[in-house]
Amino acid sequence: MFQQFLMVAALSAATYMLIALGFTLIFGIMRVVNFAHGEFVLIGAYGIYVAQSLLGLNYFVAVPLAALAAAIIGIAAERLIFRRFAGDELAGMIAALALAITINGAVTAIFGVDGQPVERPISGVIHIGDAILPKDQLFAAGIAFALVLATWLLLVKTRLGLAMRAVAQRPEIARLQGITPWKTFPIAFAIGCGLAGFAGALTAPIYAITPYIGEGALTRAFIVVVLGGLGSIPGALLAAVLLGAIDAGISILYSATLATLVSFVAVILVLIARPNGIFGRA
Amino acid sequence: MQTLGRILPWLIVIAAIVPFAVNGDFTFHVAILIGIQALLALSIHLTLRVGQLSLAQAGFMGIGAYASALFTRDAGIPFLVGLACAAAIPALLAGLLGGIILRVRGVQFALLTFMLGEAIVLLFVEFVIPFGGNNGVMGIPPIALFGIPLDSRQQIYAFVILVLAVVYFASRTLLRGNPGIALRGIAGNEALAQSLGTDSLGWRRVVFAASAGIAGISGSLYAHYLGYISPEAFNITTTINALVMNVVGGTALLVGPLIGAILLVPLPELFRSAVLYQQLLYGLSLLLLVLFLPQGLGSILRRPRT
Repeated sequence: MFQQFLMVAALSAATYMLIALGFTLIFGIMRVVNFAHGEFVLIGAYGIYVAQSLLGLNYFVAVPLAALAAAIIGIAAERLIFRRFAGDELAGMIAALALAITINGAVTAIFGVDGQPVERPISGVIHIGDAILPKDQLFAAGIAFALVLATWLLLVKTRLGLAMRAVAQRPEIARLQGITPWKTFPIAFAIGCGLAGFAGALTAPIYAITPYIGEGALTRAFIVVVLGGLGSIPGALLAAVLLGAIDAGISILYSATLATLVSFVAVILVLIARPNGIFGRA
Repeated sequence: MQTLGRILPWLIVIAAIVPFAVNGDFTFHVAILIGIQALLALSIHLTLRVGQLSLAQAGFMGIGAYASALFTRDAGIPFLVGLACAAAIPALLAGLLGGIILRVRGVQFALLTFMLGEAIVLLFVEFVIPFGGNNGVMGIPPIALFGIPLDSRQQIYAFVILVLAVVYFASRTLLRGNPGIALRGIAGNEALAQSLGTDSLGWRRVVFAASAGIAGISGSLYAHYLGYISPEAFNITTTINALVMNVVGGTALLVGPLIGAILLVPLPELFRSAVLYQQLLYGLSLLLLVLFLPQGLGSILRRPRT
């Protein structure tokens, strides 16, 4: 039972990390609360459906293509919309809402409101101790952790990552050091939306895909990012683990609704006590 | 500009009379929905005026709807008392919570209230007794004044418009009177206003409580008009639609949310045939509006008071 809990917690933490990392990165650099983030998860999921079922591509080829599509649409959104709202949090949030409605409307117009079937490329289970693990979930979680690690290395080890972190901390001082803040905006959007696209593509075969999956993903991202502190990357990663544990524990013992309710109340309490999140800067 | 500004409220009055000229059950149905949504949009408008966008308003609307539905159906309380409870309970809750949560500012406040709204809806889902879980509450008694039920849509519409007018003028008084002066001072220079003895948190709390009360009234009218409520009617989508009404109508004017409701609520009812493309067109027009007319359509007619 405990092993099962640990495994379920780790598996859900992996996808939460993937979604929340991009969300917090975009906020950190542009001060835009990307209400459309869930819709980029949706683009990733429908990307898999198009590539696999309509174009007949292999699943493992389709995943990076779907994420690439999400990243490209993300860059376009940054160029056409979000650049004008950088720094204006309320207006940026409303613009993101408008974008979310548009993307969702486009997906509904093209594919209809019904769910689409996605072939499962991987099947079967692995037994570790008394825990039973579906192989497809294990694959998704493995790739998710690898992507999170790669993003982390990009931010910590490269000059580009250093510039992005500088912009997130103090844009004015970053400018003094010769960094042009707005040049990092499309990169932040490409990475953030690409990761969201990966999350959608990786989970598409596990859950049914419908136009409504974006809303759930967005709520999860909110919880993780607010717990960890808006804009804080280590905070988001730790909070994803925490939310995974809360979710898995209460879902196994009681019900999924109660698990969500508890995480909402936890977030509200954290925000009241520490508005910048558990790990956020004061 | 000034003359247009004076005309605007009269345009709203004319719009309110139009359904009687057009007549027909469907017209009144749409007009009633406009009135109910305008109340919710107005409640969000008040939170915008304080500079703290609350995304919990549909949750407060739900509290009002469930309170008045359950009290009138199960406890046999008259409708008007139920309506009063629907306003008082969310207002009290918001007043109490406001002392704590209004200390959180900016985007964090919007996210906090987003969670609060979703948590309220989940409570309706989770506690089957008394809220009926996902099935909601059925058989809610119709709107009745002093024991006499309003049996035609025409009468219900007249009542909704009356409530909307009362709420609108109450909000106007609130924003123009002492609280309004205090709020403008706070918005202009909070530290200075506080140093002159303005209780910033106190005034914001009053407005937040009023906004929750208005949302509750909207919920009560919704419940008794349709006779049936379920939790998903009060989730974040409802709040976002009401926020969009503010953005479309203009966030700097008190008539903004009314203009937005008049323009947006009929759309899904009129374009039933184009249901697949409806959301896409809606989203695209909203994006264009946000990009090219960020002050809303109301700003064409009137510049905000400075």
